[in-house]
Amino acid sequence: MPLKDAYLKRYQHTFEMESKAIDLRAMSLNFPNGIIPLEEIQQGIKIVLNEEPVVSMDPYVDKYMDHDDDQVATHFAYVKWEDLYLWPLFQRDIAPSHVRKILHDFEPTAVITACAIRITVNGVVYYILWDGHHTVQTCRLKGYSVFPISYVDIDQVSQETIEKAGFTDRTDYAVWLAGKNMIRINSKNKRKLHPYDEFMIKLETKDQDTVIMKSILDKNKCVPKRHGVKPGAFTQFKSGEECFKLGQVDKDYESVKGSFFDRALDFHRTNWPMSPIVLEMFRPMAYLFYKAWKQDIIIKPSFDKAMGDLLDDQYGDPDTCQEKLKESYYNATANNDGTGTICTTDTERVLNGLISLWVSKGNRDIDQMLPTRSYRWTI
Amino acid sequence: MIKQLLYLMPDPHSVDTWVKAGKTKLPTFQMRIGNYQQGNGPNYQVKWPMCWIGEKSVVDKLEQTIMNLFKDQRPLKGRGYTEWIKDETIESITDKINEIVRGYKYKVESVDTQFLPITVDNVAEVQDHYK
Repeated sequence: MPLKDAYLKRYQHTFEMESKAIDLRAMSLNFPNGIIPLEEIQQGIKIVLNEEPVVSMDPYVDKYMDHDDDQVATHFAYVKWEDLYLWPLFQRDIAPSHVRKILHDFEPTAVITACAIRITVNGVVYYILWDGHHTVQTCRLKGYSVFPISYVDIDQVSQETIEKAGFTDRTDYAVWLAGKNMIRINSKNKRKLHPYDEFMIKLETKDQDTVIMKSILDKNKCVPKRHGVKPGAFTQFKSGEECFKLGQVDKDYESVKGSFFDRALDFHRTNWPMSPIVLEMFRPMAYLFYKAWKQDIIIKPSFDKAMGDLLDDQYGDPDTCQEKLKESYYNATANNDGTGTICTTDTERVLNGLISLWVSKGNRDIDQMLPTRSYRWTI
Repeated sequence: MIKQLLYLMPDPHSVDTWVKAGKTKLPTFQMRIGNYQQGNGPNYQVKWPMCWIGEKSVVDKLEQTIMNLFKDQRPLKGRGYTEWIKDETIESITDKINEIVRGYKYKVESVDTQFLPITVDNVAEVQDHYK
């Protein structure tokens, strides 16, 4: 890909460029203060996509179109509460629980601009929302009386444009446009924030827990990554946070915060130094250490190595370990070889499997008691 | 348990240093090396100078790990091309694969040196030994 090579050669610090992600964090090392001009990113996007728009247009500067630009560009206004409407034809139901979620995390500097169509019907002007309804309702709960709205003025759309879209009636056209845009924004072109990006944003904006999590990752030579290929690559951010916060409902949490996560990572890195971190090995181990603490059981340092040796002897690599432990669990339940409560998650299956394996074949010299199992069987 | 072989194969034309890492199930690997031999004609003997053997699911994972870790050295696209790794010799890549096996603790074993290199001449013997 010569264009890509030539583009990357311009930069001292190289970075990954794939259609799923251009690594902007690595790219930012090439710029003063780590702040990248959008044009530089735009050029990268064009190279990856290998295509440019057939006709370039700039509705806010060069109004080259032969009709009014209102159907292709939006206007902005602060709109009064009483002028705002909802037409369920092109909006989803309101979820009060989602309103509550926004309300509890409300931050006036993070209010997105809602989107609407503006249309006059029987002499009445309506601003009808097609995006941002939950946000607007939350703002109203907070006491707002005017709202930032980006809107398309349907009254100004030419009849020719309406007919070109297959409509004769202006209102039908408005409903169609709003519905299409609603789906376009909320479904078709929605790009969910990747957990890696969320983690890195929280880290770089100094979220306290994320900073501590990162220091634990560093200590264990784990590297946050979008994809797990390299040794110690850590990709399971949500589960990592879950393990980091184990014990938060218990008293004395502050004294153990992050320690189960830390020990589980250490266990993983020591036993499988070249492997990326495998979710269903590090998470059950974090739970094992947590449950032991809850039950006042001290897990001796020698246990970690003995357990690692046992897993190595029985199964080998971490993916095979967790697969075989789950397979063993399913065999036990199918053959009625075990007793207890049926597990509902893979973490439980592997956790119970780890304890059952230790009880069945663990090193007796260590004399290590482990937490009670919700499902027990012999391996 | 189905066993599978991970094999290394050098570029028969040796213009550059290319090595292919591939996998084949134990019951069918006679056919695989036979196909390669057929494609290379009578004047060159296809060789697998280094091989590892283990449970199919484990060899699948090992092969995937190799493909991932050597992604930057696999520039060719298209059927039959993607598994060729550039700038490696059998010796250099063997060391790296052994390091991967140790670092991940993959439960595979190196094929006994008495059977190496595997060719169409000894493939049945290898199959018999490891079945």
